[in-house]
Amino acid sequence: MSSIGVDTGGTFTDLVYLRDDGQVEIAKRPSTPPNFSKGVLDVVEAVDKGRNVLSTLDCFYHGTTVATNAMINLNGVKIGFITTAGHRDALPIMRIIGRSAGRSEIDLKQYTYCDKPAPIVTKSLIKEVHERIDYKGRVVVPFNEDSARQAVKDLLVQGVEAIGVCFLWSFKHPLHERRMREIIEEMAPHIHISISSEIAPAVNEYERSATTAVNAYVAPLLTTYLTELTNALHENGLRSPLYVMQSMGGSMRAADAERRSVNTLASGPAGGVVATSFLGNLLGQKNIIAADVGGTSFDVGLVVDGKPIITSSSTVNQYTLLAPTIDIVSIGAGGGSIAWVDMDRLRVGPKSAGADPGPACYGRGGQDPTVTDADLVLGYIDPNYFLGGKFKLDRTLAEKAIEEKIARPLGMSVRDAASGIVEIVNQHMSDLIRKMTIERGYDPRDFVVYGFGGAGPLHSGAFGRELGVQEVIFPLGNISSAFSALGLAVSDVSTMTQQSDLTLAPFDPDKFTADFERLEKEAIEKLTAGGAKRSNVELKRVVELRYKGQVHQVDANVPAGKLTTAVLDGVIEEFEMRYEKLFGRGSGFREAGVELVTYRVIGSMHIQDASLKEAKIGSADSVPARIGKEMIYWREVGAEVETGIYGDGLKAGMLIEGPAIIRFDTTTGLIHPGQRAKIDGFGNVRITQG
Amino acid sequence: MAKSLLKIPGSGHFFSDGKRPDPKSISPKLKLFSYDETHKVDPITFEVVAHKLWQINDEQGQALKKISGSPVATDANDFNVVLCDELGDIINIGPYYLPHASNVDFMVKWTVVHRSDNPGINPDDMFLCNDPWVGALHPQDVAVLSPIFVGDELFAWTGSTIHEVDLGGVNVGSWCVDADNHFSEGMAYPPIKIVEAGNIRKDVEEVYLRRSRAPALVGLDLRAHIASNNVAKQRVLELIERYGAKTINVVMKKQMDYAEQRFRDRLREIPDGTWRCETYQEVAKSGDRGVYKTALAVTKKDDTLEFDFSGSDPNVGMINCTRAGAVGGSTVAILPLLCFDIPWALGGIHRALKFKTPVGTIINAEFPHGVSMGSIAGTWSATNAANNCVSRMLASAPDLQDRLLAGCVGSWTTVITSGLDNNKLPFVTMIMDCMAGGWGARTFADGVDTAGLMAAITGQCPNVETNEGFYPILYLYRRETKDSGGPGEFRGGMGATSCWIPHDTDGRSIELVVATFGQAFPTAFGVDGGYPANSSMFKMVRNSDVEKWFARGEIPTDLSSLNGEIEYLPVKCETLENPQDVFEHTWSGGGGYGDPLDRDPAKVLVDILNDAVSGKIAETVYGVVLREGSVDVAATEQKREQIRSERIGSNQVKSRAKNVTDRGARQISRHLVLNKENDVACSGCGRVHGSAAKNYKLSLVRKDNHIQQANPLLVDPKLFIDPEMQFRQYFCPSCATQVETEVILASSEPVWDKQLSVK
Repeated sequence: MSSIGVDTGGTFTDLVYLRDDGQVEIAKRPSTPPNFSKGVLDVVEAVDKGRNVLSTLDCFYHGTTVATNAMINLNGVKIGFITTAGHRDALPIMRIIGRSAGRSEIDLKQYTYCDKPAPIVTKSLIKEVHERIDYKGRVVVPFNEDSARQAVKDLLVQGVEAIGVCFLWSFKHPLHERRMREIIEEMAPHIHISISSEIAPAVNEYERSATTAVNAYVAPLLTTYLTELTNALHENGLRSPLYVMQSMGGSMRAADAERRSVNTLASGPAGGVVATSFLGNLLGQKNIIAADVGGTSFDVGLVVDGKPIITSSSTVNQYTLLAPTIDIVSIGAGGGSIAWVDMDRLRVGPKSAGADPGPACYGRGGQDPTVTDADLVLGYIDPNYFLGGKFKLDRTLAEKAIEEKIARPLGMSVRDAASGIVEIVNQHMSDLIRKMTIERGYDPRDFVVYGFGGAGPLHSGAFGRELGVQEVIFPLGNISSAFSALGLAVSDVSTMTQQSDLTLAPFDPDKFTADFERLEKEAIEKLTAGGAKRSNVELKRVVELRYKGQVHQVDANVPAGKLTTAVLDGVIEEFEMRYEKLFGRGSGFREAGVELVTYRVIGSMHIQDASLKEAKIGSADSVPARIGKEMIYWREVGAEVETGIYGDGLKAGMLIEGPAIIRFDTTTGLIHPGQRAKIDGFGNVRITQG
Repeated sequence: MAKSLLKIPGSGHFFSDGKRPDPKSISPKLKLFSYDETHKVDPITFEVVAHKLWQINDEQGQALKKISGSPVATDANDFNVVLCDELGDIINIGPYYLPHASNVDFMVKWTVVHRSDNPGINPDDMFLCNDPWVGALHPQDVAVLSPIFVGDELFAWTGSTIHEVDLGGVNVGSWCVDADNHFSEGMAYPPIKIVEAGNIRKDVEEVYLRRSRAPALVGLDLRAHIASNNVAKQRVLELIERYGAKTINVVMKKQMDYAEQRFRDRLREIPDGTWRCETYQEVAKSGDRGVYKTALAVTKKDDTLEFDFSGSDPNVGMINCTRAGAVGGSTVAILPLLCFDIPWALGGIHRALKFKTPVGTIINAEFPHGVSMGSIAGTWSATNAANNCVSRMLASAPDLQDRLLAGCVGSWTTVITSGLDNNKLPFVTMIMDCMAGGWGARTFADGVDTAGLMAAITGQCPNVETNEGFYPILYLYRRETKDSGGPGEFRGGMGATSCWIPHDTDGRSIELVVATFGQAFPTAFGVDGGYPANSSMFKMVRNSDVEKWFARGEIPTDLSSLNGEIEYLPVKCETLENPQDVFEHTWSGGGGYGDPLDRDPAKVLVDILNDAVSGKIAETVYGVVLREGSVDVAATEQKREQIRSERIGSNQVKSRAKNVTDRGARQISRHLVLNKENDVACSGCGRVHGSAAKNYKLSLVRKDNHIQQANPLLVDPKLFIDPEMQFRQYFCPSCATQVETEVILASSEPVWDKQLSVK
């Protein structure tokens, strides 16, 4: 089996080519906004080298930011929205969390600069229809056809290109929304329609409305983009279908993207976590912290029991969306984070020099010292060997910036200042990981860290040690800088079906079974829509429960097949156990009773058997791979120490005693004093405390 | 409300002024960790530790939210967490409901003095306190305080506060609108040892829970307190073990010094002067019809800031707060407006602050005056006053003007519902819809519509489906309220309105307790010529014909379309909502900034299209004339000229040059400058209003309007109050610019709202 994953980022488009012999090739080309498909074709050409690779592929996967960009730049299509009479403002009110969702505490304290995002649909384009369903799904006011037709007419007059529909409690009683869709189809046959009972049939009208509106807002753009890209790839010889990455970590057929565009939002960082769980399965590691250190952001996801942690909602441009998403926490920390002096304090971030002007050492006019400048001054990065030597860095400019802006004002040496900058950013990263794991009920010491992304191998050894994790790995060595794209190339096709139904325990096992069977049928239909065989489909039942009146909702797994009272008792037991694990002993509010919120079925279909080639373990002697020795300052020793420098010649089985620096083609890794690294058969650099 | 209260001898014992206690007043049994100022911490370690200390607060807050799970505490974020030094000075507060942290120092300071001897303060003890005179906002806000020891020396404190849904008293929800004094309210507990040597005191816990109508929920929150305090304590001890107690101590102390220094530097950016306001609450308890004043003068001198509440009315009814509430309420304005980029290490910031809170007033009530509405009455009114004065002060500092906010969410509209829920089980809850208050306008942009509360950095209002799923109600509508944002060059953000009927109650009624202020008149003020926002409002249509509407396939979206008379509920009352009764409540938006005649007419048109502004207000207040859906530019110009002429009663309206400030004058507000001769002058036309040594308002054209002119949503104030309130406008006599507005007692003199110090 062979596949390609292409990940379009803001600056670069990365490609991972997983050959049928298990070898991995990578390529990188600049992204080409606004016409992103050019960058995709460029990077394909770069890896192809005349082999006509496309025609041999079993799968082609793509991670696209077209929908995300439309949300960030607010340039989706003009949409109309239809809702229950009296509730037009649910979307603009945003439950007020639209002002704070996804924002840092630093931003939130700037009251006069803390707005809601600009609306994706203005009030004059939101129309109300007389109809009403209650919490039990009973019709209180029947669907009023006249007001429905009037609403559509009002929107069409204003020239909308897509319409979203969300009625109160529609997930309990979808007939009104379906009738609404028929009316729109009849009045405007070619317009895109998103209805909430299909897009996100879950309780909470603001989030359901937002998800539906956002889907309508981005779907026409994404559909056009994917159609064009598919055509171009097919013209270039691709025979397999095109698959698109979703934020939940699985992919979907490009042909399904129209109805599920919202699922591609926030899919950018998902690839890294998928790659982490894929590699973890190969290495037999079940609990992994996936740490992606880039130029401007630091993204952390968790793999627990071999699977990425998935949440049922995500935040995009301050909108809360009911789209299943790999749970990822980010802070603005990375190579571009700016160091500054604040009275007599040394601070790092949250401002970033970004890619332009970038760190001082880029020589593009950046005056502020950054983490990358500090890494350079300390000798970690070779100025002549950054990005494989394609880009020369200026060490003098880095020293000057640190000298003037940090060292002199604080009365310390340039070296101490640089080492302080790196220490602070490492500590911030370890603080974030700690917060991320503890908040989800886990202890970082039970995990291993995979440090990837352009600067992952530079920093993960330090924050991994700080956290006391069992092992730090630079996954696949040189591939670690494009590790996220590997996640695309190995992903399954996945989908989620759900149904909210607020019911107090004890539950009726027959109804439970019937509801799950319906969701399973729906999931299978979605997965096999393109004619795939259903034998490869894996279905997982999950039920979201809470103590009545309480805000925390916790997932519990439900066994397959026909359910009995005894089985459901076990589900509630699992819920109570997980609740206490997540929220602490004694936190369960049993007196209130247990309430069912949402049934979910997560379906995944395995469409290829990806495997990586494993090299034979050779000699432990790493001297042949050593390209030199340098005197490097290590903060933990407090002195300069002779440090081995290693290049791309590392082979399976080699052992490296820290301190050492590995200068891969596309990234640099640090092995700290007291650490020991071993290269395994996949090229992973596996670091343990000595 | 001239009902005299018995003075309780000795009640003065239960009073904390929030000042750092004299170590001599603390029992020698309690050893204190001593600060070694000479202990050096390098800048890198400092930064690393400071970040970890900040994160402790974050972890503590998360832990609390997790265990409590109550929608009041967690959805609305009506809680907070705090880290203090050994004597209670605040090092860090969480990003939740601000006054729940910013007054915990009062309690810690009282505790170290009065509990150090008997029963003693020992490692692994915790103290519970909800006594407003010791430091709570009102009895429903319960704090649990944990000392942190290094060896046998008291090193620091951590604490958490949660609003509890009911802690007893004469009315459900403990908002005791029918109480004559504190003895009918939820019981105030001075600091009691709830956890002793790591074990919860069952007897004390049961005394505490026995008072509540929702003991299980309150009990769960108590566990949240204890667990979250333990998280913070354990993390501090871990840091101590790793970096050494002296280092952690130095970082804590220097963090406060740093905040103090940055705050003093900030104050130096602002000219010296005094800024004043009067703000009001009406109806001191159910049945009352009075209006009560909170007066505040904020004086900035060099690098200090003084808040003087002298002139506030005597304590009355249940709308009072204590000193802690007044200080905590003021910090709601001080922290976001002045410390937006400074760590909220209040212990340091407080060193540059001074509060004068005369005893026996509504902002510093004497025991046993009623305080059950303290958090959303006296404290809220202190916030309104502080926001007012600080924002006007910022208007005079060129580099800080962009940080001012006109009045935000003038009041909280308490709605407590109780009865049987959808599973026929008893419930009592506070409806949190009015979290969606509007924020005030800024100097460069409109206020945020349905933004939140000024006191809560983060928070959310529930989904309609959440409330309908829990409680036996069905919403007819919930929407942003047209015309609720105060007009101005930049408009105030809109508040919203919710309306529901009982649903699925099998003929039973729902019990309602409602309480607010700012119903007869607005309390979210305008700045620099902006209008105030709307007022809060509770309305009921009894025995409505809503079922007939439903039967014919329609949902009423306006109370006035229903068959039945609209009953305006009193500002504070308890009532029943019967099955066919329609209940609506409206809450406050934000005030406007600048003269509405200066607003870009295109923005007014957008506001009309978005149902933010009515056609009537567009024409009469903004002077914008529309024709066929677009702005008629010529007619608008004409209309605005006409309004200006009417303002000053003359056709000779002077035009406004753009460069008045270039002649050496400095701006002190949107429409006023201080010129080189120390005269206050119009920034638009240059007219000299007179010496800065007297109230400039006295030389402006003053127009006294009926209060209903302040906002079109106001109803006849006689429904609620006896005293006459006025809406005043002040115009430049020469160019007719609206310089300021006032919502004020008719008997009050114009408030000298900005008095700059001149040599």
